[in-house]
Amino acid sequence: MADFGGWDMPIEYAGGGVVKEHLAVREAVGVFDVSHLGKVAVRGRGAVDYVNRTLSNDLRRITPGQAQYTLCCDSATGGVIDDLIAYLHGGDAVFLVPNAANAGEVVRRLSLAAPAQIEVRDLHEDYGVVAVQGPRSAALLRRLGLPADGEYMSFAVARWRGHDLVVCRTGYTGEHGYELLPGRTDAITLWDALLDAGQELGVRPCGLGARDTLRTEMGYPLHGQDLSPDITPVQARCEWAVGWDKPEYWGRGALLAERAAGPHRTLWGLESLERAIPRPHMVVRSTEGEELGQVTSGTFSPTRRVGIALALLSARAGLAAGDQVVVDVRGRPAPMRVVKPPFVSSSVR
Amino acid sequence: MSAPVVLLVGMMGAGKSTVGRAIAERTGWSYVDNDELVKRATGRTPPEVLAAGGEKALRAAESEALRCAVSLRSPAVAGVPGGVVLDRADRDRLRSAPGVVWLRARPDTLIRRVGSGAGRSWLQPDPATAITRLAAARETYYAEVANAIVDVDDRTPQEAAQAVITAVGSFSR
Repeated sequence: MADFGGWDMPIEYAGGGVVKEHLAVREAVGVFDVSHLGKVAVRGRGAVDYVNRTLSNDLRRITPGQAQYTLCCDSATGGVIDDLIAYLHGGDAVFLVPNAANAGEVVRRLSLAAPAQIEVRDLHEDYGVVAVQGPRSAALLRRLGLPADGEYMSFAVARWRGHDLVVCRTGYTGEHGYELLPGRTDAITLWDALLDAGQELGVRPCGLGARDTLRTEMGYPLHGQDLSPDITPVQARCEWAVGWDKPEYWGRGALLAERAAGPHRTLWGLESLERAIPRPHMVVRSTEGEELGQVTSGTFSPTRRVGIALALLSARAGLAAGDQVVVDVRGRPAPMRVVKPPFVSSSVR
Repeated sequence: MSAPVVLLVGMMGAGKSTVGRAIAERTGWSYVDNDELVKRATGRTPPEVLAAGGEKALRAAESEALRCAVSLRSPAVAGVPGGVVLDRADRDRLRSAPGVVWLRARPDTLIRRVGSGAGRSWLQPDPATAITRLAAARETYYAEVANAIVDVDDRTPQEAAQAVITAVGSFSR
C-alpha cells in the first residue's frame, strides 16, 4: 500500500503484480479502484460558460453527454495546477474529475472566481470511481446489465441495483474502457460484482503500479511529474487541450506568448536501446555530453519489454524523433532513442 | 533542415483540401490531394475502389495512399483522409513523420460545412450528432499524431494556410 494524495492505495494486488495486471488490461480486462479522484460539481445559471472562461479546453467542442480532457492553469504563469476530465451535463452543469491531491486547490480557485449564482461543490467522498479497462471491458459491463455501447468520451446515467450509476467511456490506459461513478455506498458492491462477473473473462484487480505503466506507455502525463505548476501545456504536448481561440481562460496570455515564441523545453519520449530502465529525475544528456533536461516519468514497458521514459528536454538542442541521447542511470550512461509518444498505439475506441 | 512534407489531418469539413491548395499557392510547394494519392497507389479513383471492394477496400487504399504521402519529395503538402487515424499502423506511420498538422474545427463549424452529409452513410440519420460524437472520439488520435494544431474555426483558408506555414517553419528550424 502507498499514500497517494492522502489516500491509501494498493501498488499491486496479491496474486497479481504489476506485469500481470498490466497485461490483463492490454489483453483482457482490469478493474481499478480510483475512488481517490476528486469529484466537483459546478452548476447554476451560466456554469458552462464559467467553466469555459476558466479551464483551458473548449466546451463548445462537445455536447451534453460528452466528456473532455482539460487543464486548470495558473492565470499568471500558465503552469498546470491540475489536469482533469470535464463531463458536460444538460441544464448548465459541469461535473469535474480532478486528481486527488489537487482537488482542493481546483475547488478553491473555481469557488473564489465564481459569480454568486454559480455553485462549486466538492463531492470528493460522495462517489466512488471504478475504472474497467481492456478489450473485454464492454463484455464485462454487459454482464452487469450496464450500457456499453457509448462512443469514446461519452457518458450516460444508468440504473444499477436501484441506484444511479454514471457510465463514462473514458480511461487512463489507452484501451477501450469505462470509468464508473457509483454513489459511495454502492462502490464496494460494484467492485465485488465486477470481479465476480469477470472471472471467465480473465479480469484482474489492478493497482497504481499497472496504472502507471499503462499510462506511461500511452504517453499520458501524470500531474506532479510530467505536468506541474512549473510545466505548461505548451511544453508538455498538451496544446490539444487548449481552446486557443477562446477569448478567455486562465493562463491565456502566458500560454499564447509561449506558443508564439516556441517553448524552451518539450516533453519527449525516450526508448532504451539497452537494458537500462530510466526513472524520474535522471539526467538526460546529448551524445556530446551537454545536459538537456530530466526524466519526468520512467519505467519498464511490459508491452514493449523495454525501458521507456517521458523527459522534458531543452529546445536549444533542436531534437527530433530518431535522435539518440544518453540517460545517466545511476552513474552509468544509457543510450536511448528520442520518440514522439505514445510508445504503444492506443485503441480507445 | 528544409521544409518537411506537410500532411494535413483532421475531420471531414476541416478544410484539408482548401487549405492545402492555399498553402501550395503561397509557397509554390506541390499539393497532392487524397484522391490523387489513392490513384497513384492503386491505379483507381476512390469511388472506383469503393464500388469494387466496399468500405474496407477504400480504407486499405487510403492506407496505401498514406504510404505514398509520407514518401513524397519535399517540399510538398498533402491531405490525409479523416478516418486514417483509426488505423494503428497508419497512426504509427504518421507519428514518425515530422510535418503532421491537425486542422482542428469545432463541431459547429464542421456541421455547417458538411451540411446534410449526402453520400456519407456513416453520418446518417443525424449528421450533426454523428459529427459531434466522431470529433470528440477521434480527438485523442489526431492529438497523438500531430506536430502542430491550427484552429480553423475563425480563420479564412488563407489565414489557416499562413498559420500552417508558420507552424511548419517553427518545427523545421
